[in-house]
Amino acid sequence: MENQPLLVESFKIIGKDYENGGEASSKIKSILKKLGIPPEIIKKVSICAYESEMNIVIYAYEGEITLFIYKDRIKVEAKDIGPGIENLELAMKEGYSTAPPEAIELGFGAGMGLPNIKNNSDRMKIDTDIGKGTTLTFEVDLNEKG
Amino acid sequence: MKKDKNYINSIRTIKEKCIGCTHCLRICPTEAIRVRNRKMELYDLKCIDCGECFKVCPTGSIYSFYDNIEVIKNFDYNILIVPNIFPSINFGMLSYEDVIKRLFSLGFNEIWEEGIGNEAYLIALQKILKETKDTIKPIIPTSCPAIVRLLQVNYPLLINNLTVINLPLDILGNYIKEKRKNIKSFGLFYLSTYPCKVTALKNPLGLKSSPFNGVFSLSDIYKRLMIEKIEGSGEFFKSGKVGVSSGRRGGEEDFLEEFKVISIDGIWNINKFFDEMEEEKIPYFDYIDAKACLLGCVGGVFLKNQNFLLNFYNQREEEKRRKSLMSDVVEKDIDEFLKDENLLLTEKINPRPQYLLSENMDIAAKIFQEVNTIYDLLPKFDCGSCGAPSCRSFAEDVVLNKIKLTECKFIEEKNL
Ligand SMILES: Nc1ncnc2c1ncn2[C@@H]1O[C@H](COP(=O)(O)OP(=O)(O)OP(=O)(O)O)[C@@H](O)[C@H]1O
Ligand code: SF4
Ligand code: SF4
Ligand SMILES: [Mg+2]
Repeated sequence: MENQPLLVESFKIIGKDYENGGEASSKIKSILKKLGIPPEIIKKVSICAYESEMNIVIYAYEGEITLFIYKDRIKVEAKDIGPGIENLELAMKEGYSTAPPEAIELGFGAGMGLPNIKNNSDRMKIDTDIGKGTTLTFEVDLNEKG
Repeated sequence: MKKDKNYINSIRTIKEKCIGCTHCLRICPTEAIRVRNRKMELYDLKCIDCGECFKVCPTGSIYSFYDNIEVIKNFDYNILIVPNIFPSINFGMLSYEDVIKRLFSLGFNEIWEEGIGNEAYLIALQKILKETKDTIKPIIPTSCPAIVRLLQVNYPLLINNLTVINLPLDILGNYIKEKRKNIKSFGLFYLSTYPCKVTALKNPLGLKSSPFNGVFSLSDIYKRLMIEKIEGSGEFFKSGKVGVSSGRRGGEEDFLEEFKVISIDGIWNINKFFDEMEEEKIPYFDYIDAKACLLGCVGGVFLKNQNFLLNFYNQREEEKRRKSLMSDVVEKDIDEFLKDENLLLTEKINPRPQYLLSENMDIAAKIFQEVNTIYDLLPKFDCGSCGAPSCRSFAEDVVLNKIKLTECKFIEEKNL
């Protein structure tokens, strides 16, 4: 695996900012388009980036999403200052959700975000510290051609 | 006509006429225009021939490429397809029948209305919507070539939503070609009101070669028809109600009433819709009746002052033809139209990514970073006084050495 990223871009995320939630992943998508990444890969990365961005908006106080582009893969790190996740195993379960009412009203809270990231990425890792925050990292591999 | 891969776009400019007013600059949906040294410059790889620039140019500097009608002399037998909005054009004192008679006298043996192709297209689409469960939805049409190219240039993630059906015009062209194959030397031509369709014939979308031998300009022919008093005769094939209304916003939607169809007109509205679609923010639809021109083809490019009139006459014409939903040919011979070789795209329509900074990802990433560095220096007003449509496109031009950074009025040389 290559260790020198070709490009690194970061985006700040503000907790409870539902209005702008999704903008970072939308920017990530447009960068990937400009770099000529194959559409199927862009789709996967966008889905995962969107889910991690919205989790920061819904559950954390603030955070940052960083896109790393390597020759052979795309990595996204979603790091937040927030409550942390108490039971990771439970959080990863389809349908498990602690989404607050205002998020449910907007259509979130199906408990599908984290499972979706797992399904659409090649690797996923969550580091969480109760009371401090969570860092979710996922990677999507580029095929030889990409 | 063999496909000409080098034929990229049909929009042309007359440099001498251009006054550098920049009206065209920001109207372009793909940022294909720059104004340098008070002259419009076209990045032709980005142009999708939507004709928006033509519509706003106050000096008539922008026109579309066409073939000269003299080419029909190369053939013994000539067939002309007239655009689906042709019956809606107001020819003053002349009735539509008179116009057709005069058209014959220009040297055509048969005249077909394009709407016939739209009818076959819609029947095929209806079949697909009914019978094929695994198509990606919403289906994006091929009936408006500017939309297809917008997708290629700006929306690579949506390319698989394009239908597998040929452009209506190509379906009709293929059909006629096959039906008349016994005639030794015959030419098939189209009378176009839009640059989008000129390009679609010169460098066909999803086909190896075009069934057409040339394409003429409506304004050219219009003038001739007004002078030419001679009436000719020949075989004339009329479309039904469906063919007539397919050129109007919502016309396709009317026909596909049993499905969930959304009609959108205007390239900028479609841009916004596709943005949302890429973000997956759009609820379920079966089909998008998308037309790049406001009002649909009746809002077509070379009829810029007549759009609402045309829309009115189009509705009237539809009313007149309400008794025959479809043309006689389609009624009798639909199976022939729907044969795979007439109906289906033979090549995949691929993205033509012009937002791409370089083919090579390493270089693209480097350029991207340099563009960001330059962009950070700019005021982000998108004022256009540098001759680029946005600060970001200006930054890209600077990095690609197409313009100097100091062309931006807000950058002072001493600060660099
Ligand atoms: N960044 C985070 N900080 C704190 N808790 C989190 C974070 N991300 C996820 N969680 C917890 O994990 C649960 C499951 O998250 P997941 O994204 O799978 O579903 P959801 O956000 O509840 O619903 P959906 O994503 O379908 O709208 C959340 O309800 C929340 O309790
Ligand atoms: S025809 Fe459309 S895409 Fe081409 S330059 Fe004009 S506005 Fe831009
Ligand atoms: S609209 Fe564009 S092409 Fe027409 S005169 Fe102005 S700058 Fe020139
Ligand atoms: Mg979630």
